[in-house]
Amino acid sequence: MLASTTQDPALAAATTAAEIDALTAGATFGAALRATPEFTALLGTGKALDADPIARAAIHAYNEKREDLRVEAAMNLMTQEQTDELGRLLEAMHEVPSVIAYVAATAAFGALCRETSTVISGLIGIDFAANSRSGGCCGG
Amino acid sequence: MLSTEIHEAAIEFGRSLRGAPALAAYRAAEAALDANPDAQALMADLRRFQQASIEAQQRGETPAPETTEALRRCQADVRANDVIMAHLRATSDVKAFLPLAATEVSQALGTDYAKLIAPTSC
Repeated sequence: MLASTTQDPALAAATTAAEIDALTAGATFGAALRATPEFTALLGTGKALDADPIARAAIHAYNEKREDLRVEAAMNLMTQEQTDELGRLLEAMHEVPSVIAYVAATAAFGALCRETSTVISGLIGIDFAANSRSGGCCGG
Repeated sequence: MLSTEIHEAAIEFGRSLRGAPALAAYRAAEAALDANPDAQALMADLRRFQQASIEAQQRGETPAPETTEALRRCQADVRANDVIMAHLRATSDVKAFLPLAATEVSQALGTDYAKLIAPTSC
């Protein structure tokens, strides 16, 4: 919680109360988001993904190859064959039905959240999305 | 298209945020800066000198002494300008407060709301 800069106890109490109101409203808003069909779909597709051995194998294969090539990718040193192989594994992963469903559910819920963020930014007069992580939009 | 429920919940949260002291102070500081052309010009000078200094360093050069001196003078002027300093402090406070509010959302949601709404460059 932000420290109040005022020395007036009544004003300090009001400041704290207003901050608590805003934080409580945040929790209420989070609960409302959790109750959306989009979030329910995300949870459901996530569970289905975890239970699907084909999806898990495809994800594992892609992640393993990506990790193997992490240094080459970071230094822009990947050969065409390596790029093609990573691309094939990514494509194979994205062809698994449970992955397709999870990716779609993630995109739908992300879009919903970004839309709510636009509403909030309009009300507060500052970009909420860009300022809602410590250290700026990229965290830190 | 947001459902009525979630749109209203977002509006309620936004209104509560708007009423928080950090946001109120930020709006007041923003208005004061907007109404003060001298402060705006000083900030523009500061950015210009900072940029010149950065560009010189990126070229592997030492910034010219007159650039360094102009930057130093400009920094001193900014530090002495109440409107700018109030704006900088208010901005810092609001950037500290909004992540707290986003964390409350994330905790109730069970996943990182701030990450979901982050600009795609992040």
